[in-house]
Amino acid sequence: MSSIISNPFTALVFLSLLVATTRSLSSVPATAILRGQRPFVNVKSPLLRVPSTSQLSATEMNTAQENVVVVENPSFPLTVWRFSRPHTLIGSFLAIPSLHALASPSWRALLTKQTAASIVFATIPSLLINIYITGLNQVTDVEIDRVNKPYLPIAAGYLSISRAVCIITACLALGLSFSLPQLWGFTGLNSDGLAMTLLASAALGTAYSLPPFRLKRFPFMAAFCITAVRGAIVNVGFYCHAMSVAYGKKASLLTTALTDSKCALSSLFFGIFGIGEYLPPSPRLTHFTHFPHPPPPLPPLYSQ
Amino acid sequence: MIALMKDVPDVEGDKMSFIRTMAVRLGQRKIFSISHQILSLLMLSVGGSCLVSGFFDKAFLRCAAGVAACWSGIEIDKNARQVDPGSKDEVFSFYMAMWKVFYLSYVALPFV
Repeated sequence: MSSIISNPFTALVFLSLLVATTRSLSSVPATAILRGQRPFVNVKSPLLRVPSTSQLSATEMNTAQENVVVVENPSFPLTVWRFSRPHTLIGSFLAIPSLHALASPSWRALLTKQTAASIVFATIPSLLINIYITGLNQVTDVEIDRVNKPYLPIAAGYLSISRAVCIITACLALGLSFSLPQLWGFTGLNSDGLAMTLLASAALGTAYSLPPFRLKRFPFMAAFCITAVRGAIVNVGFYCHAMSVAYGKKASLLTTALTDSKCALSSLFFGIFGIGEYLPPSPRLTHFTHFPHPPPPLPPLYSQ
Repeated sequence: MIALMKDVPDVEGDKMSFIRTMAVRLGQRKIFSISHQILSLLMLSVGGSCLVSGFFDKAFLRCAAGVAACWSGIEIDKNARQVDPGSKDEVFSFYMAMWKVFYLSYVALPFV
């Protein structure tokens, strides 16, 4: 804990990250985020286009003007927030304190500064890696998201692909930097468990979306990735991180996974739960060369 | 298991671009019913085993978590019966409700 105080710059970075997150959260109702809704109205929607005045009577014009919605692009933090698929972020955000509580020998041990520091030090990179994985999945599937998930920022045109690539690269670099001891001056807060979780989930997330593997092409491999990350990697990794950093026990990854029943059972449970997780419900490509739009159906008036 | 369910609402776009998800191959109805049955069975069995072991260890909190898990297993089953697997919106809102169950499981985990 003393290392946080002795390093005011990094503490400032963390604080500003926290403030930015809460601010972008408060601008949208939480229920709308969970339902994946966009509070903004798409200006291209034909329903909202204002008809020319010559076609309307006076009363119709009044109602039309009442229905006009001023549309602006969402602010950049809000766009990034939607880009990160919030429902997956919340899962990662809850998992870490929960696993610290599971690993703690007593309730009192949970309420120490060391435990709080350990939770914060694990949460920040895992959220960054989460954004990297979901972002990479969106960047590689733009065409399909336009059909299945047109409200996502890239598909809706709020976020350019090059900017999205910048975001995910920054998130990957920053996130992985937490797996290197001594880079941030927090040697006491590093552990093998954290490093393994960050590296393994980033590697699987990359193999999921990017060629040459592009595992999302194969339904069983895709399900395996999701189950492995959500079940084994996250639970075992953060459990060991909590053991060694917060409670000062020697915990090697393999022996903990095989002998600690709490750790093994929670991995099993969340593995089976195996939620589509930070993989946004987004499809996989197989023989994707161009996007084959079917010909539009003829309007009924001209079909005979 | 929701690895299966997440593709159910997206069949339309996947078929159009020749994507062979499980939902496209086996049909939305089948995948939806398989995945919700796995989930409610999981919650029921975990809840049941928590109840039994909590009862013998006299661990009150574990019993309570077991009751909660059983109850959510029953609720999942009840809600899923009212969902039309062909409707994109209904399946998607069910999918997001499963996320809430996922969050709650992490909240309950320390008490088990």
